Amino acid sequence: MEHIAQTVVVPKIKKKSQLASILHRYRKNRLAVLGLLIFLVLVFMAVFANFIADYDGQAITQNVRNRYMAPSAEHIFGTDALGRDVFARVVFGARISLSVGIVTIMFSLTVGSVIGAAAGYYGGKVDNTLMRIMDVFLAIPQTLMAICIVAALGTGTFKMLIALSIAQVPQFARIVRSAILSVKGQEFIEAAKAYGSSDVRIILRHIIPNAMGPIIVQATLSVATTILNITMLSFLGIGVQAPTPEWGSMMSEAKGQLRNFPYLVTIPGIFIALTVLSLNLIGDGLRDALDPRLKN
Amino acid sequence: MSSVTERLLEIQNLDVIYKTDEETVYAVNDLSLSVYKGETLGLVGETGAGKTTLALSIMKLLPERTGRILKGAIHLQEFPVTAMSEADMRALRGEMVSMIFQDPMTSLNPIHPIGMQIAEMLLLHKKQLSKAQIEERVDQILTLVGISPDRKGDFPHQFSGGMKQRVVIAIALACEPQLLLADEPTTALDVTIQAQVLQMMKRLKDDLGTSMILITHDLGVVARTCDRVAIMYAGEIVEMGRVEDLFQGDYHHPYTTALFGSIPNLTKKTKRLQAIEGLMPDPTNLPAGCKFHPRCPRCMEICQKEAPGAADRKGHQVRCHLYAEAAKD
Amino acid sequence: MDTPIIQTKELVKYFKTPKGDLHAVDGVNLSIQRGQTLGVVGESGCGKSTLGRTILRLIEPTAGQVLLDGKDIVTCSRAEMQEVRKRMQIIFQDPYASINPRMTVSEIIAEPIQVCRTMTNKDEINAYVVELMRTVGLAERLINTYPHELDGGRRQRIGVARALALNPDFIVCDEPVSALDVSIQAQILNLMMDLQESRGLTYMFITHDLSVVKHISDHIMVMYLGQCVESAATDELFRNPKHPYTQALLEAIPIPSLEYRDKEMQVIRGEVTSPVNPKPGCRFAARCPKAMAQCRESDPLLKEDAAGHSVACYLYADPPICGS
Repeated sequence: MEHIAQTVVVPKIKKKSQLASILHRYRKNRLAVLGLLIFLVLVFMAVFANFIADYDGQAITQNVRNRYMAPSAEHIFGTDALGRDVFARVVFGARISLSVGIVTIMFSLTVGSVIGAAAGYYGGKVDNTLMRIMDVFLAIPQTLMAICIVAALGTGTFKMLIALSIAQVPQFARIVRSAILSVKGQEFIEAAKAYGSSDVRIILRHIIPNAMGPIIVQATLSVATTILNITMLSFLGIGVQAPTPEWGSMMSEAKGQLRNFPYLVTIPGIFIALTVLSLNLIGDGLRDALDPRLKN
Repeated sequence: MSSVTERLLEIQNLDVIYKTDEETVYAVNDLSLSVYKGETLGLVGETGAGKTTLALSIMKLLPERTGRILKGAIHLQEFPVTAMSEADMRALRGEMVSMIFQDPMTSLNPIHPIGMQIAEMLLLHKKQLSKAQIEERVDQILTLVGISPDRKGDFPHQFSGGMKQRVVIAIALACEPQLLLADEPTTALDVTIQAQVLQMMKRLKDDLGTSMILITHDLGVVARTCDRVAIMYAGEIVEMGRVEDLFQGDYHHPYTTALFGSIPNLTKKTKRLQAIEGLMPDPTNLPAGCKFHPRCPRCMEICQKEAPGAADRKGHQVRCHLYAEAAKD
Repeated sequence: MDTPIIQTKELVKYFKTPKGDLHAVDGVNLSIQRGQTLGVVGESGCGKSTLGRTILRLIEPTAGQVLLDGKDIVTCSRAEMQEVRKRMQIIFQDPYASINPRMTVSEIIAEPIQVCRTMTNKDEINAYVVELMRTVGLAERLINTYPHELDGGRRQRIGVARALALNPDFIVCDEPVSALDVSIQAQILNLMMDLQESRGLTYMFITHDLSVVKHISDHIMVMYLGQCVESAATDELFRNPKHPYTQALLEAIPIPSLEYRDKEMQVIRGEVTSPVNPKPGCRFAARCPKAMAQCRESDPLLKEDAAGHSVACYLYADPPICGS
């Protein structure tokens, strides 16, 4: 019947792995690639800080004779009030800011997702109980909550990390829950039940991948918030303890000299902004790359 | 009959495209069509045939950023729709020509009572009417579509689907337009409700003398309500004629024949349906020659190269090479 | 007669709503013989989709039994249900919502096999998927495409292939062609009938489209507000519709032929009433042109005549109650 009809060229069946096609889609988004590059540079800086700068000699040791030196060939970002090299402090500061930021999000995303997924998927009483608890947490401002937790646990980088993570959990629980609610009513979920998929499999294989978009965006945004929260806690003296270099605390230490030596505030500020920006770009890019519907 | 009655709408050689950065969709291609006073024209076709695009072109409501009328002219009586400004067009919409959309659930504003939504139409177009006159007209039009005027203070959510569609029709008819474009008005309704609405629309047409273009994919609805029928495929009218021409005889476009063959027949017992093989052509990359040729069981060599013209037999047009000879008679 | 492959006994499903119980399925008895198709017809909100899902236990019934080959599956444990699920599957209405947009065609079709572990070898699964695709008329080159790249008809074929993957005996088809264009609808209907013949499948075909149901069914059940009002062999039902609602439905279908053009339609008044806490009496009484006093007092029972034609209406009660 259709002897003349089929002029379709049959392409070769090539099996592209999921990861390869995600990368392919990601590469098409130039801004996302730029974001990834910036972020890799920052990570590189944090990982290889020892090779880039001298921790004991430049980042920690005070040298009052060298204080407030403007950026020059020797000190490309200048020196601060105690004569420490700002470049070295920024490089080592990346370690704290990035690692705390990312680990915090990993932790709160995992815990928040489990809670949100359970609430969204099972609904009813489970949903009510879990979400009311989360509401209590949400009712307290995030930073205030972190302060309370640190006050209870005591200071220290690790304890700060825990405080910040707990403060972020309710947000993720809410977002994961609503994302799951929007997917769970769809017929392909019912189909999965019809062939006997377990609840965990349905959540992991069918619901989460389809609810990913808003979660990823929120996660990257939250890394930014977390870095800012570390800054604030350090500023209050309950975060990173001096003399450990950290971008936020560097800014707060120098804020009194903003008028005379603006570079002391702007340089760490620019690094915070770069981190936040690159993460947002990566987040947007990932959201699109993970969605096969946006292939073109 | 075409020579006697007055022409209300005339479309000549219309081309409409949707253009985005990546692609161009050829939605309506070289389409000519007339609607006469008082008649109902059925516009039949599958998804993507360009039916709705055609209606939106007549209303000049194509999506601003992408939709564009490339060439051709639309005349609504003496008004040259294609050449008119948006401001002039706004005055025409509702008063000369109205449109009913498929989904009654989303065509009504949920936060206003339905009486107010009908009154709004009158306020816009009949500025000379007093408040009392408008109220009176609202009552009148509601009665016409079979809703008690007591309910004009009710909100859309208090009505069922069929009742909502009646309200939508009431709004469209409030200013007694000359032409009503009904885009699948009963597709979202249950059969018994569809029967009610169709019956009402037929009665209204007889009472008010409104002309109508009824867009549908249901040939059963066409048989019940239309005077003339146009079958659309890939943005073209492949066959057009009186409803008797379309449903009888064997002077038909192969697509029309196939369309009838693919509907399960209630009156006859058939073992297998005659499905049309293949898919609708990609509107961004239409086939050369006749657009139906890749699916056509009677495809000839010429069909792949040359687009057929419309062969006319006493007002019954078929766009197919099979009848090219007949056209010369 | 053999044991029917599927049978329900007084199947009931009520949903709790703030206004009271919504009687979605209210005491439905049906049985389907192996290799046959039961068409379930009704308007939106009549509970036909809920009935299909309750039979598959995708929705837990409030009361009643569902028998698969004579064995009640409502009381089955989770593990037993896993076995039962391999034998009954579902095809959905919306080819856009019923398949996971993030999975490729092969992943979608292979998913039930992986879940039920009917096959474990990767190559074996792959070969099976290709075979299934061929069975439902999907070109092999589409194996790694995503659903959004395909049209409605092909997506629906994926849905059919997924339902076939576990080699079931019984498939609930919930309006599988309603969202498709007529030409594509015919392709899918033909495919389903071919599959029934070659694999001996049993279908429960849920639809609102009487012409489709007539084409594909051996037996038809008409539902109105959660209850079965009439049930008969297809030809018998179309030749001799007894219930006033069935008559109204048949009357309301627009037939693509000019013979009926000038005939005055017998349109029934009103619309479907709310299934929340329904009043006693026949549910259709408020719209019925032949309603009698008794219809508003008590429920008419489903009565079967010698020819196997059942109807729940006092017009056919025994002894007959005349509408005097």
